[in-house]
Amino acid sequence: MSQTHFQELIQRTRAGDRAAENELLQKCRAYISLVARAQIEGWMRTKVDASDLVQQTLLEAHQGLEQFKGETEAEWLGWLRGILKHNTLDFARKYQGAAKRDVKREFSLDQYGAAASRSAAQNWELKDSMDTPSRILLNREQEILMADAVSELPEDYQEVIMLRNLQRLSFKQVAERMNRSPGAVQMLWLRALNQLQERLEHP
Amino acid sequence: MDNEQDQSSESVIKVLNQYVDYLQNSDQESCHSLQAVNPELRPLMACLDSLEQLAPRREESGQLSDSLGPHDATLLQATPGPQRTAPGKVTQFGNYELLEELGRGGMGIVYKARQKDLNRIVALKTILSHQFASEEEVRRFYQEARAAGRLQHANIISIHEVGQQMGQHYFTMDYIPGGSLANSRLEFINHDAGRDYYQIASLMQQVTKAVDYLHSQEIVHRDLKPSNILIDDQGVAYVTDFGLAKIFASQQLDDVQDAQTQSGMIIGTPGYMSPEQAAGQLDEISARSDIFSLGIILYELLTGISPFKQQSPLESLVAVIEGEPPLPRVQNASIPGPLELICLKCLEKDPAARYQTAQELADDLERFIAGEPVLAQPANLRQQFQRWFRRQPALVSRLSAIVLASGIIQTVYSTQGVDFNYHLKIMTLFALWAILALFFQWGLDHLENKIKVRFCWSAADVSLLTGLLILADAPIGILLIGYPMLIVSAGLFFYVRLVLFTTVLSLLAVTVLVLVRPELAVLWQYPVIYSMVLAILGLITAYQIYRVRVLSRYYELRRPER
Repeated sequence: MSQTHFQELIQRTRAGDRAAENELLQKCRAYISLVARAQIEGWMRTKVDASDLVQQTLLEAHQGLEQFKGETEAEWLGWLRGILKHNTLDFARKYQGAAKRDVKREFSLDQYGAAASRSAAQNWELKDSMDTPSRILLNREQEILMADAVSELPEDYQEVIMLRNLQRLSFKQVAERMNRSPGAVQMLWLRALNQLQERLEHP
Repeated sequence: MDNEQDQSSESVIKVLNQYVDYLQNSDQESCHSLQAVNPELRPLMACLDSLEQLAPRREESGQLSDSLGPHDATLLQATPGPQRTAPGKVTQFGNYELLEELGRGGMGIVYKARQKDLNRIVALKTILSHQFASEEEVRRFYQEARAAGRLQHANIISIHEVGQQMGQHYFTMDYIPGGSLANSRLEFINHDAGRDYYQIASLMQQVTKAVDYLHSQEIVHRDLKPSNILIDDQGVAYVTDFGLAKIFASQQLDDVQDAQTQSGMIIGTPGYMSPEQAAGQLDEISARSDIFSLGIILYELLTGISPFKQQSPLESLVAVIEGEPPLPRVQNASIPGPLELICLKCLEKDPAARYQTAQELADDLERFIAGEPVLAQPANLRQQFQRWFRRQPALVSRLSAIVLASGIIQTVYSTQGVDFNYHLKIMTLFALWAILALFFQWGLDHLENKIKVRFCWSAADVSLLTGLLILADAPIGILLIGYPMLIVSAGLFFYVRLVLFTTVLSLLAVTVLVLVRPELAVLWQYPVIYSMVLAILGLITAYQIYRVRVLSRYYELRRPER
């Protein structure tokens, strides 16, 4: 899948091709899921089922498609990430709100949410265009492939990568979270990395 | 066998884990050096790179916890949270704790570090591994660091230890709180209303004495610059970074093969090195090269301007070799005359004309401080002309050419008495040319966009030459040599577009000339051949500049800090 193929998908999607849109959104599912889990689990410090969040994000992307003005995959992923971020904030607020039963907060949240979901796309897109140069230079295609590869790993491999790389925890913390010895966690990490690299090289 | 495998995995994990830490700290330089030391791990490191791209950006996770607060306060306090790289984070480095980054240069990164066993604060400098081409060079580095470790002087940073941690070579030295001359906010330097010139002289004297001590130990520093001179709270100056210093003795022992590997390697910092260093004349480099660098530092302290620093290293090198900075007192009239003389004597292009030893320089500074007459003498007429030529070569060469040409024409006029009106026209054109040259030189010195000035100057030259050739008596054939000259001299500024611009203008001018003066086209093929040769000449000149630029880029890449 080349850069041009991706751009072609985006163009066809914007022209109203449902099949292309489906393919585009499905390609990003693993990516969205991984990023969502990294954010939410990093904040909650526990494993979370992020499938609702992913579903919601893809749905909003589908509904707000005409607001997407970009052309490249980098812009597309930045846009998705923007919607996801807003949903993640929502999710976290709801979680906290539910814990505290703070009615006022939930009320204002709905208002914010309704307004935000409409304007979110443009806002986040702008924000993303101010990215650091190294991130712009990097081929974002790689991010999707990497997310796919991670999602195909065995469960415990996924977890150790999620904790050490995506949530930036130290091995000591990873070991606590996974209930294993630091040495075992490190060996697990090395095996996960090796398998990941193999999958990327021979998909 | 199993045990062996375990051990190798363990070290692999250690390196990869270190790599992730660097990544998460956005420390790209250290990442590169780890990659360089462990080429076999590069595929895995590439994997880690793209995983890091997937991780939530710091501001994202920050926003999440900022806007919501910790979802469980006790948990958040137990672990520092996702922002593990907040300032103040301590990295372990063998027997040292790296407390904060103090600076980075081409050689590596300098940290403030705590030595655990002795519980003292030191400065720790890591050496990027790509600095070392071979084992031999590593060995050399250790040898030099040990030699430097023997040095003891009140104004020199002592080296404590040299070693290796996780494939990273490092050495430790005294930690001086405060800053370097390059970034310190010393009052007597920055006070624009009135710099304290005696303080500056005394600071320079301390540095000079330290350099003199180095010379007495047969070490030429070779990389003296403001960032290598540290100032503590009491205003005491310390010379540091012998990274590039080569020991006289060991160099003399070096055999022919070693001299080969060293030849042509320019070491030092463009803008702060002596002409003989910049020109790569290694056997010319001596203690007097350090005197030149001291002169640059003094100039900068006096005027606040770095005399030879240009936009690219190549231009800095050319400026050091050929150029001459404006007189310090032109920049700042309040500078005492004797101090300016001392500075200029250090900055003589010919080593034999500088102070011969650091001691002589220190003595002259002492005389200035004591109010006695200094030994440095004002420049004589020849030196003054030389300096003017170096300072404004484009102007001086044009004025000389104009004076010469008009002198010849005047002689012809006086002896043969041609038409006065014709003579007047030619002389007016020359005068206009001279005035324009003065004007453009003023533009070069005072306007922001120097390259535009050069373009305009080139255009003016081509038009004036064409005007002259239109006026001149036939046959003018030989005088057409003027165009190639303009094209080649446009090449002196290392700017491909300027050369091409001049070439195209010259071609246009020749066309005009042929149309105006039909006698040039009696044999039509001659102007065509002439134009083609002109175009080829322009292309060759442009290509040569391109070549020099490529070489200079190569040189820049080898000096990553600039």
